[in-house]
Amino acid sequence: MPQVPYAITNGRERMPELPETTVIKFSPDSVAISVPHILENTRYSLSFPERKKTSRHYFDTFDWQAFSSGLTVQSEGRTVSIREISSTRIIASDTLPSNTLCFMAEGFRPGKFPTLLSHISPLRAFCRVASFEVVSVKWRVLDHDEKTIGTIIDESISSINDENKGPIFHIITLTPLRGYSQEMATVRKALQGETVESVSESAAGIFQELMRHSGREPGDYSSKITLKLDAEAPVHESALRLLRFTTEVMRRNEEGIRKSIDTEFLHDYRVSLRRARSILAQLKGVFDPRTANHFRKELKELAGRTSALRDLDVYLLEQQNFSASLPPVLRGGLIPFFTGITSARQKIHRKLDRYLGSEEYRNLMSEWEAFLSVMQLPDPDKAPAASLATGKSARTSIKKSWKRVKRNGRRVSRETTDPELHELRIDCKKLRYLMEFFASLFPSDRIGPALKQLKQLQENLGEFVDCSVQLEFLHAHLDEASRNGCDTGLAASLGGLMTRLYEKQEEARSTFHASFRNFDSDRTAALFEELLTERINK
Amino acid sequence: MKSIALYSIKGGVGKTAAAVNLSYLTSLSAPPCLICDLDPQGASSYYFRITASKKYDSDKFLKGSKKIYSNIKATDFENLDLLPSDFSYRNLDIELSEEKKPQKKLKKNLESLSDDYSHVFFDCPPNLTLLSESVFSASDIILVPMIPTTLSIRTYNQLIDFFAANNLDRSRIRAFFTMVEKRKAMHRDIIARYGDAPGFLRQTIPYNSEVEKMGVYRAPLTAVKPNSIAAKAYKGLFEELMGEKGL
Repeated sequence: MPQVPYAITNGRERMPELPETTVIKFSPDSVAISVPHILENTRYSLSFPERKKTSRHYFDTFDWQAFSSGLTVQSEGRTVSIREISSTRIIASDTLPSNTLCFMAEGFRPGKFPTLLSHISPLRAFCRVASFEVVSVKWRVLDHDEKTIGTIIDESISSINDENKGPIFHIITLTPLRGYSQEMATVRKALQGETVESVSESAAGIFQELMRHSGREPGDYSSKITLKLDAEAPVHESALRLLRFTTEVMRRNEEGIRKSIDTEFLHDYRVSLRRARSILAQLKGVFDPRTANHFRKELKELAGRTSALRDLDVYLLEQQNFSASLPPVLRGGLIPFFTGITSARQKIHRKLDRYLGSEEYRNLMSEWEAFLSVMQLPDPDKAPAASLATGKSARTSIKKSWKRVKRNGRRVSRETTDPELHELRIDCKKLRYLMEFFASLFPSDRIGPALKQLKQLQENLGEFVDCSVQLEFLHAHLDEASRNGCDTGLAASLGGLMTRLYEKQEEARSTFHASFRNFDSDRTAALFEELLTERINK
Repeated sequence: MKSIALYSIKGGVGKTAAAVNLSYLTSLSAPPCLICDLDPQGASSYYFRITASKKYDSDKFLKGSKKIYSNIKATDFENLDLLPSDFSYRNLDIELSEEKKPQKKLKKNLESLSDDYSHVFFDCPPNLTLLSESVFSASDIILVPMIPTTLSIRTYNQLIDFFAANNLDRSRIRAFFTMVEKRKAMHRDIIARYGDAPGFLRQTIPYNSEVEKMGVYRAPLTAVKPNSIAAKAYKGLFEELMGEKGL
């Protein structure tokens, strides 16, 4: 599990010797154990207990980014905190704006908590993933000088919906204060020794169990393709598995798109949709061409319905960068531009929301899913490549696609015209998708470097195309605004922005040949050759 | 990390009380904060109910870094840690003199903590020795508590002379009056004369039985009796101090 480096969480290095937290788990129906009673046999005493009954809500992004950074985000009452999953130590906390189900860093006043939140995930919203009722008793453990050496928290955790079922968890958490690990170890031993049913567990393990209890599996969503393909299986079967996977990703993102929770639901949806279209288009002869073409057309149309919203999302995400790229006097002019974008987004979102709830969409998806569920090989006359082994098919198609990128890239003229670069970008995307589909068939130390080479080229092309698309959009916006009597402030700001974008675009254009040469090098060629001739993973 | 030394050649002038209260206030408004108890009598450790681990001594302190890290203890107050002193600190001077650059030793040893704390307070033993010199070079501000008496003014001048003689930057010295009894003419007189002098902070700390009771509370007065007259005076002193250049 990658840990968030403390440089981020704290703004400072982590001290190496913060004491470990211990969590002792008891079976939920265990006879009530008395912490004060057990402590009587040690040299330590307890402070007056603090008793509390609260609802605790856990939050994470749709793709569990807090969890995968080794953190939890949880609220009790109106206090929301980010904690280290392994120690349960609070790293930052803040006040939650009323009864919130989802939040992002922007919802908080500047401070450590929102900063950390946006470090965990700059784009995704944190939504409630599980809720519990917690009855807790907290003591400070005191030495003979009445100095606190640590805390003991005894918690009974029950499901928030059926409390009367009794607790599902009974845990005791011991947290030594800095410099008092040894003293607290005595206390820990006393507690563990007294209770037969106790099990020491990692706090992370407890968290995962809690999530499972609420029907959630931490880390159960990622838009990345994680399928393990079988090299010997017919490619038709593998392609269907891939398509079912991308469709599943689309399905899981529908709700988030419709509720407009954050921009990444639509983004993941669109990436999966593009992947599906790419499979249909690139694996020639694997499906009946009539059916494949039919769905290609349908899916293209579906993608078209989502583009406008994504475009506007991108502008809103770029708002700060756009503003920062202008001199302060011109920044004000962007305000009406973004107000316009925000209200246009609302309208377009409503339209897409309606569509996703429509019968038309339901029918399309059920037709598509019905097609994906038929495992039978298609008629060999119509789909001659369907029964080829997946491994072989993967190598052939990647090789073909790679050669096309090389061929078309070499053809790009010295002038590097817009259409040339646009087209090459699409070729690169196709190659990238193929490599990602079939990644599980290749040794990861081979496919990884090859993908890395490709990504570098893609970044250059992506920068170019993004600038060019945005320039076009701003130009159209300016045109329209001028017809409606646009004020000079807006015109100046958009003009300034277009100049910046143009500069960026030209920079990307001027570095294209260098970045392509890097991709079209003997080294990359050797990487690909080795990848594609190597014996495929069994 | 900003460092503030509570220092006086004379004993019993309220160094520890100031270190404890000021560091607590710092932990609230500019966390996290560390107190480094350098006095073998360990008064600030005592006020926080902390004793050093049995294995900790001046030797470990001079080794620095990891040895210091593992001996820092949390106080009962969030964001306020303490490096306790040990009785063996009474030999720190002799041990320091055997080091290569004794004057730089403290500064060097605490460098590794600079990312962990925003402020460190040194509670110094009352004397003028090699350790004091090491403290002087490690501190951004040398804060000198003074009882308003002629004898105090004399020792203060000795300190200034020492700085001049040793080419030390005396602009880092700040003095303030403690244990002030308004009913005493000498106190009033000296404060009137020096209260506005450069290097003197305006806020004074009154003589107050609450301050003495800190030994009973064993906690910062600013934490347990924040509304007492003395606690309010420390708060004023803290605010004035934080307004100083370099803090």
